Amino acid sequence: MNHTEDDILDGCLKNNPYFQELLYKLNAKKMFGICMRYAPNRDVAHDIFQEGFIKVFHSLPNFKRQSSLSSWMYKIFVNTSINYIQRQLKSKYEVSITDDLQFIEDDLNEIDNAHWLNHISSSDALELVQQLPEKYRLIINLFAIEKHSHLEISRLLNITEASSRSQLSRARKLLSEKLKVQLKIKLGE
Amino acid sequence: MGNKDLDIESLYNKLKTFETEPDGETWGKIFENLNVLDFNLNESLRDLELEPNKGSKEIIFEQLNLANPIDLILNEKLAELDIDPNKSFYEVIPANSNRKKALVLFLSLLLAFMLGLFSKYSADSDKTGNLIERDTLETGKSKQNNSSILDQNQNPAYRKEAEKMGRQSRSRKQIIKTNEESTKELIVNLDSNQDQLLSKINLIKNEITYTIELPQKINIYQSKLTFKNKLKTPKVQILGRLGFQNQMLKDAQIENPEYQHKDALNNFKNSNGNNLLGIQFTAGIAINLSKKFYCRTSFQYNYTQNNKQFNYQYTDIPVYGIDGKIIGYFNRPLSASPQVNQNIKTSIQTLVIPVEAFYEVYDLRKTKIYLGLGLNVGLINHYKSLGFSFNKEALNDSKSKSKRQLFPNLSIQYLYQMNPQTRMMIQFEGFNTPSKTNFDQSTFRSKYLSSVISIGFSFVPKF
Repeated sequence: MNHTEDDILDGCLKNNPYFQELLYKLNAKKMFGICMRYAPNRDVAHDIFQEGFIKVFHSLPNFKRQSSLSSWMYKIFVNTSINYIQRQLKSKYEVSITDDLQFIEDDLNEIDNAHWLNHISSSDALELVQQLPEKYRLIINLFAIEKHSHLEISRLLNITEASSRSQLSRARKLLSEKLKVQLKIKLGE
Repeated sequence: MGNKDLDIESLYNKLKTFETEPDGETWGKIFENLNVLDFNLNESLRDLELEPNKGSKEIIFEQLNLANPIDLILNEKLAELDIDPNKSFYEVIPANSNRKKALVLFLSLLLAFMLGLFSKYSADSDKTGNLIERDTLETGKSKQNNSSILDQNQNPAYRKEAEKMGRQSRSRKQIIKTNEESTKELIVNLDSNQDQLLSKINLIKNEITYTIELPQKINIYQSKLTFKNKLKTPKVQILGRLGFQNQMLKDAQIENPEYQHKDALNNFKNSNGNNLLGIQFTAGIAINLSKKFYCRTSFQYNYTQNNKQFNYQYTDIPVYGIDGKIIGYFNRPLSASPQVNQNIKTSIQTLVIPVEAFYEVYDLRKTKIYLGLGLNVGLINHYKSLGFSFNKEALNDSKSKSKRQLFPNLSIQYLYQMNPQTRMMIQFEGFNTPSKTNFDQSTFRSKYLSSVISIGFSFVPKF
C-alpha cells in the first residue's frame, strides 16, 4: 500500500506505530549513510543515528511542511552529527599562523594526488574519511559534501574562516596521504 | 558555484582529450570553458577591486577550491551514500507483541538448550562411565576440562565440525598467501607515470581481495534500552497533582501531665476527632538523574477538616499542691457543673516543600512504577479548632502555628506516558505530620498519619 508523505507524517503525529516504522524504514539507509560519513566508526554512527531519530520523532510536531520530510530529516541528521562530533572535541579549534599561510600550497600538491581517489570505491572513500581526525572529518563533510561555504562553516562551528580553510586544506592533505599509504599497503611495499 | 565546478572538471577532461587528439571542435569547447572560468575570476577580481581587503584573495581561492578534485570525488562517492543500519533499532517501539514473541522464543531456546545439555550429559555419561567421575575427583577442574575436550574429539559430529573448521582456516591462509604473492608481483614505483599507475591500479582492483574490517558487534539490547529511555525520559519535567487526603490522629500527649487536668488530654482528642479529610495540591519540578532514578521537589498545600460532636460536663475541680501539681479533685454536683454539647470544626492547613527521590521498580513500554522516599520541609502548619477551657469553664478558640518541621514521606507512583511531552501519574503517599498546640496553659504534642491518593500530569518544558 502506497502512502504519501503527508499520510506518513499525519500517522506519526498520531503516534501510529505503523507509520513511525514506515518513516524509519524509508529513510534509515540514507540517514545512516550521513551518520557514517561523520562518524569514525559504525558504533558511533549508530549512536548518532539513534540520537537523530529520537530528535526526528520528538520534533515532528514542529515540522512545518515547507520542505520535503526527507530533506528536513537530512538537516536534522547533519546537525546531530555535527553536535555529536563537537561534543567529542574537548578543546576548541586551534590553528597556527603557519597553517594559515601554507594551505594554498598544500592544496596545489593535493590536486596532483587527487586522481588516486578516482580509483577507489565508495566504501574505501568512506573508510578514508572516517580515519580522519574529528575536526578534519567535520570540515571536509561540510565543505565537500554538504557544499557549505567557509563563511557558513565558520558560523556553524564557531571558528574563523581562516581556520576553516586551513583545516580543509589539512584534511585534504591527510586524506591524500592516507590514500597513498593504503595503496602502498595493498601494493605490498 | 555548481556550474563552475562542472566547468573546471569538464575543462580538465577536455584538455586531456585535446592532448591526445587535438582538433578545432575540442579547442572551441576549451575556449568556451576558459571564458566561463575567466568570467568567474574576473567577477571576483572586480569585487576585489571595488572593495579591496585582506580576505578577498582567500575568497577567490575558495571559489577555485570548490573545484578541488578531492572534494568533487568525495562528493560524488559519498553524497548519496545509503547504508543499511541494524534493523533491530526500531523494534523497540512496537514492543508489546514482540516482547511476548521474544519471551516465547527465549523460553523455547532455554528449554532446547537444557534438553540438549541433558541429552549430551547422558550420552557422555554412557560413554565414559565412572572413569570420568573418578578422574575429575582426582585431578580437579582442569582435568575435567581436558577430559571433556577429549570426549568431544571422540564425538564423530564434533570431529567432522573441527575438520570443517580446519579446512576453512587452511583455505584462509592459502588466500592470504596468494594475496601476498600477488601483491609482490604488483609492486610499482610511485614515481612512475600516470598511465602506468592507472594500469597497475586496475590490475590491483581486479586481482586483489580487499581486506575489509568487519563491523564490530553492537550491543543491541543496550542500544534498545538507550533508545527507549531517551524516548521516554526527558531531563526536566514540570508537574501538577491534585489529591484527596485522610489525616488520622495517631498519637497525642500532654506536657507536664501532673500539672494538667486529668480530662485535658481526652478533651483534646475528643474535640479534634480522629479522621480529618481534605485535599492536597502539588506543583513542582522533576529532574531525571539517570534512566531509573529521578528527584522531585515541589510546593504542596494540604487542607483537612473534621466536624465532631463534643460532649463534656465539668464535675471534677482540681486541687493544687504547694508546688503547683494537682494533688486531687473536688467532685462538684452535676446540677452545678457546666455542660458543653456542641459540634466542633477542626481544620489543619499545611504548606510543605517535599524533596523526594524516586526509583523505577517496573517498566513496560509506556508504563512505569516508581518507589519514592522523601523529606517534607514544613513551612507552615496552621491548626484551628475549639477546646474546653478549664479556666473559663466553656469552649474557647484553639489555634496554633508551627514552623520549620521536618518529617519523612513514602510514596508509590504509577506513571503512564500519554505522548512524548505528557505523562499522567497516580500516586499513593503516606507521611507523618507532627503538631504542637498550646491551649489553656497546656501544651499538646500530636502526630497525624496522612495518607494521600493523588492524580496529576507532568509536562516536558520547551526551553
